[in-house]
Amino acid sequence: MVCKITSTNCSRRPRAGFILVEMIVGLAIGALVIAAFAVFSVFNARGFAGFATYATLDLANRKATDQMTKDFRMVQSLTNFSSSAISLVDFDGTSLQYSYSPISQTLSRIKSGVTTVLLRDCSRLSFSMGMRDLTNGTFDFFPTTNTFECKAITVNWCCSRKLLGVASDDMPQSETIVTRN
Amino acid sequence: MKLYPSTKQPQSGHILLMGIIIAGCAGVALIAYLSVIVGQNSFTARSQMWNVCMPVVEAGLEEGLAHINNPGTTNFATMGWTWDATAKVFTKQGVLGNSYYVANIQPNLPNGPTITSTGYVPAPVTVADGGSYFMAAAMPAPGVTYISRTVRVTTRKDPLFGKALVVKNSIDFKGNNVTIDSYNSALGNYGGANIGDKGDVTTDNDIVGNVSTGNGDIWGHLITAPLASVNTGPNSVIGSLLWHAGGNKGIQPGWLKKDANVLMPDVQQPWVPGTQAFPTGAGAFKYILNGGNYEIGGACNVTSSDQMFVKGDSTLWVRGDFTMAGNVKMNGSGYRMTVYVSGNINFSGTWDKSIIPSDLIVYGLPTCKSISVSTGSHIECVLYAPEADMSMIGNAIYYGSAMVNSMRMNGTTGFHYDEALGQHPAYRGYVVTSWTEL
Repeated sequence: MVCKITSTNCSRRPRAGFILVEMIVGLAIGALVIAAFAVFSVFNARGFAGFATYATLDLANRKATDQMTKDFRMVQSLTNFSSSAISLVDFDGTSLQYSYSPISQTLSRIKSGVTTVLLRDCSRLSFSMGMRDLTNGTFDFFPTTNTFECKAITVNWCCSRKLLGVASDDMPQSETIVTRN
Repeated sequence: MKLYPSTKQPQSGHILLMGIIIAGCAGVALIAYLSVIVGQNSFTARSQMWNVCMPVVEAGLEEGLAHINNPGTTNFATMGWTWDATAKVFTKQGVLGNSYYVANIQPNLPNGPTITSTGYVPAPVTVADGGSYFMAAAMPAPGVTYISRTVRVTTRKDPLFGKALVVKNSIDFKGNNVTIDSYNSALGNYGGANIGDKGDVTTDNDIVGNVSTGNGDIWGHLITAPLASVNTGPNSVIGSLLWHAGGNKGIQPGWLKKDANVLMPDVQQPWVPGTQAFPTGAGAFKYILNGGNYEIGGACNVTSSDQMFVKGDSTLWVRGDFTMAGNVKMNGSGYRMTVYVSGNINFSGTWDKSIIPSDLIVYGLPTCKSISVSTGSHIECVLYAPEADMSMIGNAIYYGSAMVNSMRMNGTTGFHYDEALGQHPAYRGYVVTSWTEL
């Protein structure tokens, strides 16, 4: 028996694979796609991390704001003051302290011997005091340095966090709380 | 055997696969973003609602305070308060938009009523609960979740005459031995051990240089407005009993406060002019007040040879100047005389009355512009004349309290605040003494 191949398609279009030019173009396009994807991924990851940082700091700021607002409203008096720390007599007669450490960049609340860190990554924070009187026109509280004249406590702070070597946007916060007692 | 190679092009599927992968990555990223956004939104919304709750709570406190100040600790039912026999409190609910408060007043406490207010604010509407409160017709609206906060305040009566001397404008103490201090009339006469350091002096004005204590001594606090400047003489002493006893000069640390914030409303006419009796006299007395209301249409001039006799709790309205150079005899202790004066006041006579200053209360109407206490005068009195400039001359001595437009003291005049006035029934209303979030 004689087998004879009489016909194939190979004779019309040689299937030799890529020619060099095609390969280079293909590689270039592939590299572009991969690069674009990588850039997109990095950008996306960075953006997401930044957004998550923002959300985290914002949450911490809100919690700190709410805690300070609640505390300062109820205190009986202010016993000691500096721009980075204040000591108060709480509504129940016990001591309450708020202290900012520029080294550790934290704001701590100290009550009954228990220290709670309210803020981390706090790049700056300052306390100031105001009297019960308001200035004409602006309705701002008159500032004072005497604790016995203090009726309003103002706190200014800013939190930021470094992300891949770049600090996140500042989130300056400010609140003024009028003590009720 | 024949072999027939496939004539079709190979179906690679790379594009589809890549598309699915990219879409998957983008979807994961999107879900992550949305999750963070949802969390952020929830925290923010809840925090805002939590803070919004406080004005609602304080609206309830204001409602309670408004009621106990006017009409007072009565008429609860007519003003919409209901009695809760179990909690022994009066309760009232108020609606503010889609929020509401429940305020409770616990009356009949020794110092003053206690007010408790709970504010309710709709919790943020999320996909999870989906409740709608916009069409709520009654509170609490059915199906709505509320965030609540509760605050309790205690109150006390704020005495009208809680300070020795309160002025709206300038204070000027001249002379070498002007003295302002305190005593307690419930313990007896001024002097000896009955001398205190509650002679607080307050001015509500910001005029620079408006407080001049000269060489005067104040056994008490000096309270001014924030921008006022205080000029003290070399021998002036302001502070506590210990500060004075220690031979110190100047102002004791902490006894000068610059946060005065005083409201002194004008005095209103006690009644419609011309509707009350004239206090007729008899015998040695030019005027006799037997109790009740009296009115003198013009000036009242009790000269050094005249006498006035007060036999019962009386109110006298002098619609002109009031000059008291003679003698006022009040029939023993326990009687109270209240004088409204439309014109100027001159005190130089003698008062045969109890040592209790609150037995004689003088109100100066807005047209009362001047009050003079002459040398030699010795008077136990309470003065409220927001538009009057008061002066004490020579060795005049004043026991009690005064609220006037300005004050000038000369010579060796003395002003002794009666601490018992803190318990006087004349009060400005209930004020909050403690504020506690529960």
